[in-house]
Amino acid sequence: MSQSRTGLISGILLAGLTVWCAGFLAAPFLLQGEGWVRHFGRAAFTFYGEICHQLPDRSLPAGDDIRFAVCVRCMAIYCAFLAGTATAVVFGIAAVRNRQAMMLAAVLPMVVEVVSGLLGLHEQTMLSRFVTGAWFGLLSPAVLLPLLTGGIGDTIDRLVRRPVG
Amino acid sequence: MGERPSYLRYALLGGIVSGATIGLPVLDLLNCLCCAGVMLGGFLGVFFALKDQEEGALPMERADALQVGVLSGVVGAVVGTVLHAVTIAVAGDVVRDMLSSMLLDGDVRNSVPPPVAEMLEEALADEGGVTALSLFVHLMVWILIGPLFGLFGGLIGYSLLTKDKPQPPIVPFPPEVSS
Repeated sequence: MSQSRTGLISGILLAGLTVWCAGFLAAPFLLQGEGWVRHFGRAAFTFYGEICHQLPDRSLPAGDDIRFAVCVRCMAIYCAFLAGTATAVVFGIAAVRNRQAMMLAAVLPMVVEVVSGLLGLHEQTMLSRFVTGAWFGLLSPAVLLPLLTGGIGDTIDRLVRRPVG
Repeated sequence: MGERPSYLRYALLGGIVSGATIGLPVLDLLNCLCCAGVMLGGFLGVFFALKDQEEGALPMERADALQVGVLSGVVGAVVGTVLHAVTIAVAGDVVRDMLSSMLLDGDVRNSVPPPVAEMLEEALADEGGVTALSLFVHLMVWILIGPLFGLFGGLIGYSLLTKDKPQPPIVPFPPEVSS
């Protein structure tokens, strides 16, 4: 697959991630607006509510009496994933030699934190949720981005080369 | 050279798992953790596809994992919407009842930001139940979210469960043009 196509797919992915993050960051401010702006805010809260509990005590404040549309862990994952992807797209990243070890290193701290919190072995805080989420978000693009761009490129190749009839 | 196997049934299997976490009460709480339920569907689709891999067949590639993940998300959205409709029809809206009773509790009511509480009260006041429009909106939301997170579930599964193959580096965009 050509490098320019890999770059193009990465660029489109980066644009999509930016819109995704802008949505939950802007939602509380839109909700405080009037008319259609408020409707957009409500729609954003409903949309992100499908994928996040939005509990106030686990979400960062966006003002005196309003929180962002996703919890601090989700926010850390998405924003760090955006930062990791942007870094990869702008500066490039070398191929990861051992992606299983890299993926485990990315996901384990978050899994351990969630499970130990559920079992009562560890008290989860805003900081611990943020750090483990951001760690996963920052490291995982190194593994997932090449798979994603390569997988999309390979799928396009298969569709283009599929014999007709 | 071996033939490329069909992964459709594994995508359907993953989709049923995803659908259960989308449409069934209690299980749907899994999706509160960054759509973990839908990602689990994509992950399991890839897991079972790799487990059933026959000798001599072409090994699973990243594009296969990506397609299994995306398809499991699409199937999950449809299955989840059907389960959602059936659950509401049979057992009533469990979540609506739970939220209503929670909002009646003064402490809980005070801990929710006023604009959000107002929005919840308006939504809960709507006794329309399950309508074709609400099901259509549910399906559209999950048709958007499901394949997205299913894809990442499939790729996480592929990265954890397969041996390393050399991956090309990600080059800066736009790529430099050599003169």
